[in-house]
Amino acid sequence: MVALIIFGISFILLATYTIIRISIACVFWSFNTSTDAMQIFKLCFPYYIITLTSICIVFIVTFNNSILVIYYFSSVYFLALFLWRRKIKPSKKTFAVEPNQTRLP
Amino acid sequence: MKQFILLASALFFSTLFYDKQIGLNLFLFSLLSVFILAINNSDDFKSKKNIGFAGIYLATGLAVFFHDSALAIIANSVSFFTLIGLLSKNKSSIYVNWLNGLYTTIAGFFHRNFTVNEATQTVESKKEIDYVHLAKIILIPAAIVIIFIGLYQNGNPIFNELIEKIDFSFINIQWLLFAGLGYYLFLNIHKPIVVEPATSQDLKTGNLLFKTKDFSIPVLKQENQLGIILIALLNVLIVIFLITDITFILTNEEVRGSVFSSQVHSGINALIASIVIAIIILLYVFRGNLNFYKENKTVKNLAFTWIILNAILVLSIAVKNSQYIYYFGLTYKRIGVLVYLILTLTGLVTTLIKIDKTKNIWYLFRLNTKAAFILLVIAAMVNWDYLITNYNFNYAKSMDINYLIDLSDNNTLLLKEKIETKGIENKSIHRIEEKYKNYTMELYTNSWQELQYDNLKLNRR
Repeated sequence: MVALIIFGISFILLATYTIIRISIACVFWSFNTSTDAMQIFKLCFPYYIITLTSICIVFIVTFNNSILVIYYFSSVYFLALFLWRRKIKPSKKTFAVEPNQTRLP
Repeated sequence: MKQFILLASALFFSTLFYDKQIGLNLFLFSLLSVFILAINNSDDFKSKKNIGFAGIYLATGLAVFFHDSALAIIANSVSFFTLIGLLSKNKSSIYVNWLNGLYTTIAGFFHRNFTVNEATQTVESKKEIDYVHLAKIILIPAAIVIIFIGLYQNGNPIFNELIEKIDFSFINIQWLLFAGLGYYLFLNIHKPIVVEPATSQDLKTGNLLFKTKDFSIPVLKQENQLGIILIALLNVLIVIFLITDITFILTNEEVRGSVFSSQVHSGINALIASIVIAIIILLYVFRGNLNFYKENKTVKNLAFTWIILNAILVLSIAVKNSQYIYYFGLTYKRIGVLVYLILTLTGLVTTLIKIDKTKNIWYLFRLNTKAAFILLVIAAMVNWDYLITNYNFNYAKSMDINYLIDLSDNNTLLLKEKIETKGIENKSIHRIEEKYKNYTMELYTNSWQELQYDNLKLNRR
């Protein structure tokens, strides 16, 4: 029984993460690859987060302000912020730099 | 200092709203929000317009205290977004203010972390917080201290007794989370932000129409002819409709609810269709260069006539609606019809100004959304349930007592008063007594955060 509950919770969390991740990716896919992430953030993030918050509030009201539902949708909101932050923050990856290649065609 | 104020406000927020109904707390929250906005945006609060909107916001908060109606709560929320939006950009349109206000409330803090400060054109320098280190210096010592407490507990009975006396049950995690929500809310709103490019586009867009490059006399002549024929025919049609309508009002002496009901409701449906189509047709005809065509006087005069005739149509519906109210009493639907008529009349007047002063469609949007906002705020100031009950008891020729009992608790004290003065059947008296008992019980159990004006009334008795 406990295993089933853990599996159910993990499944819900994974599904939520995937849905939010895909929704943010869709926003970025709708632009050219050359478009700056900051520009996409400026253009789309306000409408994205307003829509997401409205959906969350509608669900919370529909489920009569149940505590569990409030916690779940608050997590959805903060997860979306976290994923947007990861998407627009410059990554700290370091790339190996090739030495000067003077003989390139 | 700023952080201290925000933290104190968050604790106050939780005290006001955690596990509480809406009442005095919403007004106190409005006061707190205005205070936080004023100390963080002191320059913006020198503008009379901003002070005026802050006053409107506080007035709606007070309306919630006086009559805890859903309309007052909606008006309070809309005024809150309007005020925040106004502080983010003073000169933008009201619908852009709503967008900015909503966005600031939802994600102002997050946005500020990633954007350039528009006023100073500099990136706000932020200290990079090392969260891993922060976690280390909190969690590792805490874990080690807890292990050592466990060890010392076994070694010394007095220390053990002391530790067991410590009781953290007074800490309410949900109360603290609610305070966290309050902190996040105040962190978002204390420095309002703008949604770009919507705000800059709005500021760039003026209210006037300009002559375009494709100004061609032959094309405009054709458009002018089409406009004249179309609007002239519509004028004739509406005149015939109005003659029959006014004849009905003057000659129909038989007062039957079903006749009035069908007249008002079908009249309203016709009105909705005719006004919307009228405005669309006028906007289409006067969309561009026809405004600057020298021989457009006839089409303009016909358009003005049509607008005035539509206004007369509005008045005729208003007369029918007021007769309906006089004979059968006030109801929310009948008040809704009056509100719709006021908005329609505003729409017609603004369309008339648009054509006369060669304004563009944005002018119409701006003025009409502002009118809708003002109407919402005015409507929120009125205790409708009390007004409906009072009117129906004192002035209406007939009324439905069950409808009045089914209204919200705002009319309970009045209904109780009226039991003794009016002849009401026993079944209804029983229902009113029941409603009064439940409402007074609710009022007596209200905490100070949930106080309403009716609490004061009840205490006076």
